[in-house]
Amino acid sequence: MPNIKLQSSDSEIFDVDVEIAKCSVTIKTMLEDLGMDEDEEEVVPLPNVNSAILKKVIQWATYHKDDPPLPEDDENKEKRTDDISSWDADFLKVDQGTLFELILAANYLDIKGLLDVTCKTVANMIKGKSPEEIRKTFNIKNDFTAAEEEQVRKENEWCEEK
Amino acid sequence: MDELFVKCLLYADNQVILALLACGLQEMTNKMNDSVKKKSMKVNVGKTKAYRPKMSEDRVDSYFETLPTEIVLEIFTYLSAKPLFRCRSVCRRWMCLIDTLTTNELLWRRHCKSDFGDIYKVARMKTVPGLPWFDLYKSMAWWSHLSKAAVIEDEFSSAAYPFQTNLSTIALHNGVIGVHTRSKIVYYDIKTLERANRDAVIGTYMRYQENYDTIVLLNGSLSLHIIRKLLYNPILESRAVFDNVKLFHLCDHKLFYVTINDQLFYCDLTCDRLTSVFLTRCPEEVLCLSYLDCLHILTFKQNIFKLPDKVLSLVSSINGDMLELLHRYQFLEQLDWRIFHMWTFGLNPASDVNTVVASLDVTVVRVYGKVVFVGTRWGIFQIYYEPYVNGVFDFFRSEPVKQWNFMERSDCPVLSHCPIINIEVLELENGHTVLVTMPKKVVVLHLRHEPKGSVSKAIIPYRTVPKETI
Repeated sequence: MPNIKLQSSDSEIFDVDVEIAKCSVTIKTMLEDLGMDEDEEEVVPLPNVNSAILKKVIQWATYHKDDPPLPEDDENKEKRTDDISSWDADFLKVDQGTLFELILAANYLDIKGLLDVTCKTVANMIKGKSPEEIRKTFNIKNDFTAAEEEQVRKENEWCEEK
Repeated sequence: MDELFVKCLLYADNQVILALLACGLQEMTNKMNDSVKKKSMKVNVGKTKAYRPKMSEDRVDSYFETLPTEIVLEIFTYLSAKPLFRCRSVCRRWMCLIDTLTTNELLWRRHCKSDFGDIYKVARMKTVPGLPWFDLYKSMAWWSHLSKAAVIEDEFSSAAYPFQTNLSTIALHNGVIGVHTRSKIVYYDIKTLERANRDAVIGTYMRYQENYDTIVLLNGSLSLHIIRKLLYNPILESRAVFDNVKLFHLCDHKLFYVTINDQLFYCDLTCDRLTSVFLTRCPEEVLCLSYLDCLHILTFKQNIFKLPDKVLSLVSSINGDMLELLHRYQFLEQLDWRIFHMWTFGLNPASDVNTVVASLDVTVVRVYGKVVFVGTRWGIFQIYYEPYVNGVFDFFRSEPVKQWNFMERSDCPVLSHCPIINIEVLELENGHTVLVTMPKKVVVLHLRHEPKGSVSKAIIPYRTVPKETI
């Protein structure tokens, strides 16, 4: 298998199997459309991903390299969040900073599988929490005034439990 | 700096050090300081400044701030409807983002489907044209807060003559209600309660059903008339008549009917030609039909059969928790309650006395998801929410959330006899409309959760049961 070189934002070079690198649509497009030849010793610069995150992304892609392609998003189907594999769950046991950087990297590199699983993980962190708990979990500032908060509470009345 | 070989350096001006983090800056400053010391130079500390770009100074340290909008929205689509909406109170950004999601029809359709799977299709069809899925979801969610709803009462289709007597009411897909009277089927507009711009169907029929594209009528000589409303294609057969029919069941594009000798037939309404297919003959007298994945048949001998293809198989016998079983197999709406009373009274000695007495009065039951409407022969109309007693479906022993008595009202033309014969439900924005059909009038109950406009024409209900927790 030919390898390609990926360069992180902090200039670290990663030697990666082309097939694994191609799970990123961004890299795949670069290689195919921009005519980057596989046997050339060219380095693909990834200025939006640092080495720590790139390492994780490569680790994830390597584990999932033989996965069947994801089915097209069916808008009618309920989106589940309880179908994260145990490997992924362990893989994503990281601090919040890393998790969010993984989301950004998955988005930039266009790796749907990784983006889905990281988004699901964040959704699971939101589930079952009160707004106050959510703010605490993600360190979000409550920027409502007391009057606005009351207004929002009224607007949300229909979705509160009895 | 290590590689630079300088023989003699007197001064260096305007050094800028960039670092991602404060600690990195410190590290590099230390390094520089060391090499400066080696060269026995000095750093003009007074002129040295450390900056952090303004952007990061204001930043709330939430990682959510780093995510682009489309990803936050993507995360939100993984939440189910109510937890999602509750997230509106987290902060302004979340509120705005969630509010933009309310126009996402596909998303809210999915939420309707997953949270109100049993009623969302019916609810969608029977609403005013163009009601967004989000409003429909909200309206269906309001049912659990029914006790707090404001009620505006109205009525129409008052019958002064016997031939005007109402038999049933059906809400159609385009904000039109069809009222089946003894001499014709008349159409009204749900918003104005005026006659709709649609011709009445003249004729005396015993039973009337209508959906998006078909009208089904059963007349007194037991002929079943099927009329196609829309002809997408000229080769489609527009109408058909089947004889000796005692009862029928219309379910989307499937029509089942039973002849007087208990033969079961099926008619596929999507076919070009309206032909009926003989399925089988039921060995017991058929009482009513229901459709859940396949046809189910309730017989007078209290047995439930199912007919997946052309072979009947016994599913269950009705004894013990009769209501529970009838509810599970969706027979409550089609049931003749006099028979139910007979079963509880005569044939089942273990029946609860109150159930026996109460069932004598019931004339119609309508199940709408978790909501159950019950009408009696004395004009009493009750709405229950999740009427379960110890986990068993039983509205006879539950407390209604709301209750009306339509007989004991001064404006009711007939005081002695006022049975409720049909109940129909529609979802509107922020509330529901319930149509209660009695022989002499159709009462419209607007159950409003966020009252808008004038409520001056509201009539205080005769009796509302105080808030009950069920």
